[in-house]
Amino acid sequence: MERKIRVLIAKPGLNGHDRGAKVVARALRDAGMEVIYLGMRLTPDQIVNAAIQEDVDVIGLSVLSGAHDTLVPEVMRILKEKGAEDIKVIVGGIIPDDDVKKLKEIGVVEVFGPGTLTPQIVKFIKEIVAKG
Amino acid sequence: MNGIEIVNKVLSGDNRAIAKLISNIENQAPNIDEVLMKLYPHTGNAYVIGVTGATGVGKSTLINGLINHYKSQGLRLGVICIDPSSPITGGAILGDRLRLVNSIDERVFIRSMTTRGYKGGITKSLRDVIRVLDASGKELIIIETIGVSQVDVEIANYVDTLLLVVMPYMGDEIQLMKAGLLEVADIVVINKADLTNSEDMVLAIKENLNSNNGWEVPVIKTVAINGFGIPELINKINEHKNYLLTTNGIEKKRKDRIKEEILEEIFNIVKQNIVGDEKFDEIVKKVFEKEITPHFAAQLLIKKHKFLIFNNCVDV
Amino acid sequence: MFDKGKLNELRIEVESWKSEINKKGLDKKVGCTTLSGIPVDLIYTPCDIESFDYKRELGLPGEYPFTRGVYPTMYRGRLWTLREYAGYGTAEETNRRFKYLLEHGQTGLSVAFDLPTQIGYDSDHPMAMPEVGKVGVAVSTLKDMEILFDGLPIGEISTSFTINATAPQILAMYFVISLKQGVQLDKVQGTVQNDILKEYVARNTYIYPPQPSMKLVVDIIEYCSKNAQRFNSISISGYHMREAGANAIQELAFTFANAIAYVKAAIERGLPVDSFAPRLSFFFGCHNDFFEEIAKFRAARRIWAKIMKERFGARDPRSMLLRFHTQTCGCTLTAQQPEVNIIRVALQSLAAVLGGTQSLHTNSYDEALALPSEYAVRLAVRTQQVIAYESNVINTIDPLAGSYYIEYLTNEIEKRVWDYLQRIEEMGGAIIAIEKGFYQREIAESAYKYQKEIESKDRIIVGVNEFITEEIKVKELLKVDPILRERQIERLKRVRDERDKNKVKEALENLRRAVEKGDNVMPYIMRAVESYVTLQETTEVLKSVYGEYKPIGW
Repeated sequence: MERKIRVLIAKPGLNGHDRGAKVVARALRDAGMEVIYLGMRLTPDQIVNAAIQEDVDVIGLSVLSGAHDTLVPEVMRILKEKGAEDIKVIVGGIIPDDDVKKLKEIGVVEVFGPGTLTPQIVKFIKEIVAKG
Repeated sequence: MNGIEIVNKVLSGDNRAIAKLISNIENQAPNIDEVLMKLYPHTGNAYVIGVTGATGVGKSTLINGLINHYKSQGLRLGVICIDPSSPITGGAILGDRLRLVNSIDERVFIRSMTTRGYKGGITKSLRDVIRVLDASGKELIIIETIGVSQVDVEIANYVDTLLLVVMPYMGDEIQLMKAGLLEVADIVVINKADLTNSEDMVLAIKENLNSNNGWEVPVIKTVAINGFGIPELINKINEHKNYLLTTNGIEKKRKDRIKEEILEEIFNIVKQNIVGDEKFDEIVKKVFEKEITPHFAAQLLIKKHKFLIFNNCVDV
Repeated sequence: MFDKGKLNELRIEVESWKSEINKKGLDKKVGCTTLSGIPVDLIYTPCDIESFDYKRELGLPGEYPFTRGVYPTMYRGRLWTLREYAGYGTAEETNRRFKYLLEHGQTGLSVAFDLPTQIGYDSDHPMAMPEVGKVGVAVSTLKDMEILFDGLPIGEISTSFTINATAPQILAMYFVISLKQGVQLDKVQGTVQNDILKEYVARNTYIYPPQPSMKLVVDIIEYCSKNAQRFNSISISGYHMREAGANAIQELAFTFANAIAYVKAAIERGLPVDSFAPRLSFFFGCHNDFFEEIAKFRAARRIWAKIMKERFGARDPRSMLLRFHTQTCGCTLTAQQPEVNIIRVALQSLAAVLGGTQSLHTNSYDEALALPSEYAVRLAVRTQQVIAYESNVINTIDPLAGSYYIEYLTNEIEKRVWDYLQRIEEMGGAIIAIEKGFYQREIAESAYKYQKEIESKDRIIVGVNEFITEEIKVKELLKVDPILRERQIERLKRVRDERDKNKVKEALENLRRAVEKGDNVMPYIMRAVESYVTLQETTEVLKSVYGEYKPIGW
């Protein structure tokens, strides 16, 4: 049987702008993936816990409030602590270039800013999952 | 992780291992039967509750109430949420977990599954996934499905107690429930009972209820959002469990289920060995042209492949 | 207005002209639509508005149904308020930004609060920490509000507060400092957003479930109608739903459905409609489709006037006026070639002005990248000033009236909005439609459709899916210094230590009793904030009685 790609989409922190997260979730579904949509106002702990139980290949975090600088590293830290650093993390939102560099240094595989077209994200996820 | 390692980790309740094994079941990984065989002796301890009902009746809120109750009793819990997948792309958005996120933590294992194109409302792997959670030490497993049509009646074959959740203002759906869900439910829950015509709903349901193997199916009103009726519901679940235990109903239920599963497995094994036959299309053509009947064709194929089927079966 | 016979002649002529063009395949835009999906024809003529009745459909400015504008003289009497939404870091930084904006010709203030303030967390709550001062200013106690308005004359400026779930607390703080500055409440001018319904649909800064939240909304409307009569007690907002993906028609329909719910709730409280309706204000976005946006604003005025007059029986013409603030749509800004945003914003603002807005926020070109820098904000202010002082578009009122296309679009938008309102009414009104996820699904659908249109290049976004060039980096981006959070938390702790503990306890107890009894919370919250009770402390009291809202999910 074909192996399904599973992706968790979540919004850590208090930011409630979920247009991007929802559009991406739909695009991934239409590309044949199973998307666990976890919503907003989440703690990094809740996100990692869900990612582990759902055995997802990829976590997609959406942050538009500028709080990525503390929330994303926290997600990365907990993933490591739980021995789940093989789960790939991508980030979407308004992330300045300097911060993109910093996020990549701590293991985020890619950051998608405003204006990203969803086929780019689909292609990227398929590639990283195939690479393993 | 190899087979033994994963089995040991699952038995110790390791969330990561449980999650990986469930994925392996869903993806039908190569060594899966072997692993499941090792787990099998450790199953049969969990009590399984099914919660089914149409979208919007408040299943998740109700389940939140159940989770919080059972968690406070120190029970280890597993929850499986089943959402349909898109028949076209095979993709799915699983959004039920979102509604449970505040009542769960590491101690509650929750997993979202899709139907992956399986014709019933239920996913094909469900039995094995239940077994994994069972073997991992979960004492109670809750399964949430969207029950809207006759195919969803199938959920009854997987659970010990089945809750059918409805809400007032559901006139049209009553007809659907007549078709089957009402016949298999062990407890009917009328959620959002603070809406005005809930009493009419109670009457309408009671009119259509039959007793379920001697068990009088209760109709319970709840307002899950503020906890109203949840204690009564929990009492009824306990009563039903005791009823099954004292009347040997649970053993009968489970034996029936095993019988059903074995027959299904036989069918699957035979089918798997036959669909690859290079002459299959030719035989279909013969049936189409009325040379032979489908019944005769089936016998022909089984006979032809009997050794293949036999040889492909493992020695037990 | 048009002669029937002549119309028929014209119709035949136009049709044959069109079919000639179609035959030759010269029209390359067959099937094109506005952004909200209204088909757009090659040309518009009197045939498209055949039953046009000037008096009934337009009237004069300041006269029912107010299509041409809410005031008789519009911008010839007074320009729109130039109001930039601003706030970040601590009260000190934002206070400085306010003064900077006023120096450069801004005429009203608009406060952006950070997310913890909007959701009722003090700055040192664990959920708050990553967000303090990020998308707005942090306000946990009255002390912060005192600093925020230090040196700003409350009696002379109007201030707008984008605050919803915690609107009672923030408004209470503002009223308390107004009184401290010696400005009586009936002289205080400004607007509080106080529009909770759209929060469950977009933006999502809700705290309590819809029913008790509606009670708080009406508490503010009632309190203002009795004490602060010049203050807009609500700003019913389509902007955020638009940003979440709604099209122009959905924006109006959902905003008015929400507005109807508020008016009904206030009337149920026992308030006469004309006692509060003149202080209802609105807030819309302005997107890229130039003519559709202008038509939208015109249709909106007409629809609201009809709702108030015909449905709610308002008598005071001021109750029928749709006074609105406009912000250019943030979702149209691109991170690619950000300078191009300046042009987008200029066109959008022009549409808002031609649409008759009462106040305007122009986005800064760098906002798809970060909070706006000082330089970028100044450019945004200058954009409005060019329209106001150089373009001469303000010299006559509603200059596009009578354009066949504009009038056709205005009618068409109105019709489609009424259809939606009808559907929502049949569902049982705005609150039920929101609880059922109807708005949310419609909006998500539109958002996805828009994205797909960009991806298939059915819609071109310059720099995103066409005309892509090598990026030039924006030099100066605003970054909120993490030290500001430390300062904010230090101040909060100091306030907590220094305040009169007995007064705090008493104020909270009184508030609890009032909430349980169902009294108007405003006087109690004012007494609490005056005693330096924190935002979170009051929120906890309300939460313990009202409960918390759980989102409906996907």
